[in-house]
Amino acid sequence: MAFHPDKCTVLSVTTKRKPIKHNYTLHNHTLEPVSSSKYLGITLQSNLKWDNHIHDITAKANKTLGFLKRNLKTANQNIKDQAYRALVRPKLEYASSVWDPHTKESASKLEMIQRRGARVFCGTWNVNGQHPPISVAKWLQRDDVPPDVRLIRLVGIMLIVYVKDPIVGSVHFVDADYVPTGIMGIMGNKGGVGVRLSINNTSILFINSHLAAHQDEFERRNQDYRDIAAKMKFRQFVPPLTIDEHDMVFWIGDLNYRISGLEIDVVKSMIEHEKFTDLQSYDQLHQQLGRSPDVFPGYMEGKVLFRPTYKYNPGTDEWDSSEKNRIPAWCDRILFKGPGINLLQYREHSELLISDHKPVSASFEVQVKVVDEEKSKRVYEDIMKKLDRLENDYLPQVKLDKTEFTFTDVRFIEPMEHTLTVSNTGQVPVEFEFIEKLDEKSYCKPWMTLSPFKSVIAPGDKCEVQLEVYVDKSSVAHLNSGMDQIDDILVLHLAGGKDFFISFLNILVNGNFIASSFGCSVEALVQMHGPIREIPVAQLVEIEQPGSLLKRDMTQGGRLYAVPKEVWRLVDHIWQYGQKESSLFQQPGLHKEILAIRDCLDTGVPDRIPGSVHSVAEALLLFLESLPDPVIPCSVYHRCLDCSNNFMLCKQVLSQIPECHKNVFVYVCAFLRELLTHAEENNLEVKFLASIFGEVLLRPSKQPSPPSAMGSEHSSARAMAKEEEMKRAAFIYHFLTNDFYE
Amino acid sequence: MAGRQGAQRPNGATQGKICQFKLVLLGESAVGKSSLVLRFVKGQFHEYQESTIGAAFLTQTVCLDDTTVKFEIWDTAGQERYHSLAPMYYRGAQAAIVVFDITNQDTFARAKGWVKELQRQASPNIVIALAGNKADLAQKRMVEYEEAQAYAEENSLLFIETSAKTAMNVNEIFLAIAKKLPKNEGGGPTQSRQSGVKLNNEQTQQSEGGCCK
Ligand SMILES: Nc1nc2c(ncn2[C@@H]2O[C@H](COP(=O)(O)OP(=O)(O)OP(=O)(O)O)[C@@H](O)[C@H]2O)c(=O)[nH]1
Ligand SMILES: [Mg+2]
Repeated sequence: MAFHPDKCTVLSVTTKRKPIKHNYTLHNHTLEPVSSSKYLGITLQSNLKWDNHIHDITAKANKTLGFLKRNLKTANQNIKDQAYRALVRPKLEYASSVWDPHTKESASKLEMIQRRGARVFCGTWNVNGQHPPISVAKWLQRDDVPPDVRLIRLVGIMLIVYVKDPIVGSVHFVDADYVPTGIMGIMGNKGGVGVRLSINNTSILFINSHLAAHQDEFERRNQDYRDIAAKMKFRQFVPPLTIDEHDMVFWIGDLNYRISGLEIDVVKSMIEHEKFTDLQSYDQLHQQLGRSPDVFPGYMEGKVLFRPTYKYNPGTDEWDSSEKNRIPAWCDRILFKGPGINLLQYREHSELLISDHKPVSASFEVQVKVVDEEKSKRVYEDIMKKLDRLENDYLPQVKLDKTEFTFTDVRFIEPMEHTLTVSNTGQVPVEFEFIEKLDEKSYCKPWMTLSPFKSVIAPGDKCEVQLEVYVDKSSVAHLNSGMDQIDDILVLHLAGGKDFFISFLNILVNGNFIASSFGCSVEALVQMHGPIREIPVAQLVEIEQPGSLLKRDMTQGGRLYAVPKEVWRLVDHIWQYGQKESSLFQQPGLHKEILAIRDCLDTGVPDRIPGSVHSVAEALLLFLESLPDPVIPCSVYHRCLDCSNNFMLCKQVLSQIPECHKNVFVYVCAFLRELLTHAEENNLEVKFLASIFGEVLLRPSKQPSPPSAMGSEHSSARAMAKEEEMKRAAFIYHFLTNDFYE
Repeated sequence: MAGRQGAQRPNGATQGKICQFKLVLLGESAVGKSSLVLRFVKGQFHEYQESTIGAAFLTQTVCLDDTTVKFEIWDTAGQERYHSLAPMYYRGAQAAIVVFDITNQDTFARAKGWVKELQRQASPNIVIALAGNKADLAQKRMVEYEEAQAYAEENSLLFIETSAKTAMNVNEIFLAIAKKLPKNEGGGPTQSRQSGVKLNNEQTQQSEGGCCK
């Protein structure tokens, strides 16, 4: 295929404001650079926009439309329709899938081309308060083609709009308003009335106004115009529609502008010689229209090629012969504003004699926009689709490196961590937050912490979230008993700011927990032969069932430990290796050693508990604290406090608690009393021990105590806590200073 | 539901109200929920569609004659292990599409379970549509059309067989739901399309003259 250099041009496609220029040559011929070019009937533009193409085709279609109008003027609607479809539409739609009007401007331009012609007739006649005694047909039926819309002004300020029957169906949103400008702005003798309507998709407003009278008062007339223009509002619309918001405005009436600067005789003589154009340059309205920005801006008027319509001796064609001897004037005018208005006729009707004014009329052909419903729907749907796409594209989007996390062999008080990376892969900043599931109080189980649990990530950025599992004394019991598992779903909630666009991501957490004697109930512990690790899970679950001890008692009468062997081992170790050690229960142990002690108790090896005696002492406290039901069961906690000042009563309460709990209590107290016998060496004080063991042996149930009726002020709550603490210590104190069996 | 009044002014698009509805897709894993959404919203289909974790949100607008329905579509995870989270996602939904795979009888049983759950726990006026997806695999059909149809009728559900792969009935199911959703709230100022006095040629009225000047 050969190209002809003369027929080739260069179209560089760029969005740069200053594109790089390069001369392209073909067969030694420098190609002409252009900014738009026609190719296969489509106008291509260097900025890849289509407005030239749209301009081209609309112009083309308009030309064809004009051709049709001229030649099919008398043809019936059906033929016009067919011609439009066959000749105009294809021009508009050619290659529409390529250029697809995507800007609102382009689209609306296309819609606008689908117009239909309509006739508008406007008439104004100041009848000077007279009833027309004669037929007004001469005024109103002057055109061969009857108008579609007819507007007449008859008396005072009155406006009637007639619509021809066949187009009634296309007329809607009819509304009216009026603005008085007479004396004090309230008298109705001067002012304007407006009637607006829409024909198909074109809004048309008719205004009839009677402006201020008198030769020299043209400034008053201008002011009247401005008042009407500012105040007229069509309140059927939200917000109310103003005059200027209409596609077309026809402003008619006795505008009262006069001819000034000429003697009356000169005026009359010019009229006699039909020097209307010359005379018009002395017309006050003509002098201002199109020149003064605040006198009917944007309005046009046809050429006034008729005799002034004012002032006649009523009943005659003679100029006013009263003593006022008024200068003839074009008081009665028809102005119009808006695109697509073609004035056909502008004239006066001197044969109608009854008034001192003559009627004036004008006929127009106007272009009414008819939005092709189907096309408009398509454009609308298209816009909605694009909005959807935009909206979806701008939804927050994140990627998670993993959605499932397994925590294998989780152990008591041994933290385990995984990292979740949240990357923002969308185009907007993402706000994420872990949220609670329905009916749950927290976004994760108590043995888990997420940090951060909420944050904002910029597009392209990421955030690392630490998922830490840590089973402590408060969560261990449920995991031991099988009531809880290392198993959760975290819900990550994404918000694009202000909770607007949202999505959720589920993150699975699973794993297993290695049961520990820490966190087992006293009841289970005393049934446990051998270290806990050697006990099958099913059996563990069984002995943790409430009442399992009673059942066992009756059915098997199996051997039970008097106190859990773990408590015994810990106490015995301290007794053997630490009774003379100072700072017992005061100096903290080492975390590593406590883990080793945990493993030793749980596995049974080695024989001797590892670690320093301080670590063992802390392990003992932790062990007692981790019991799901404390040594002194929660159920009697408050009774113990109540009787803490009376040893006998305290003993009585103790006699009512389960045997194994009582055994542990008595055993621990006996041990502490033994330690106190070595007070000279270990410096232990009874008050200190009472206070420490008060905390671990006596604990209220975990349920939050009901808020006090007094609105639980902070200080009073603290005072109460202090008092409870003292009572707990007092309770223990009795047993550290007295032998239980005395 | 947020009914928004459209352009009141003349010369605007003639479409009136925009109503927004929350729609949720439910159904067993791999029946094609995400594929239906992807087909509807983006016109695409992926042979290897990743299983959904959580619930993803997309919007899509459907234009009816007089109203525009904007769907806020929640595609949920079908895997059973996420089941407990489902109420969080269908809470407040005005419409649901319960999807099953016509080549898998179990998914139909599961769909019935979802319908039951929705009827019990979701908003009382929820519009439920049942979609028998993967209709392109008719040769492997395990759920008869009539069976699903009868079930849908008993429970007053919309029922359509769809294929996210061939796009068959995908737009249609959303359209059917859009049509069935109530759009009566709001109302807005009534527009007099043809207010005016009809003048009969016979009864020409005499106009009263008023004085001016
Ligand atoms: N032949 C055929 N395959 C389909 C159709 N719809 C979906 N699939 C395929 O089925 C598989 C699962 O589709 P998804 O859309 O991920 O299913 P889902 O219901 O979202 O699954 P979850 O997200 O796990 O709940 C994918 O491999 C799809 O390609 C269909 O209409 N016809
Ligand atoms: Mg999915």
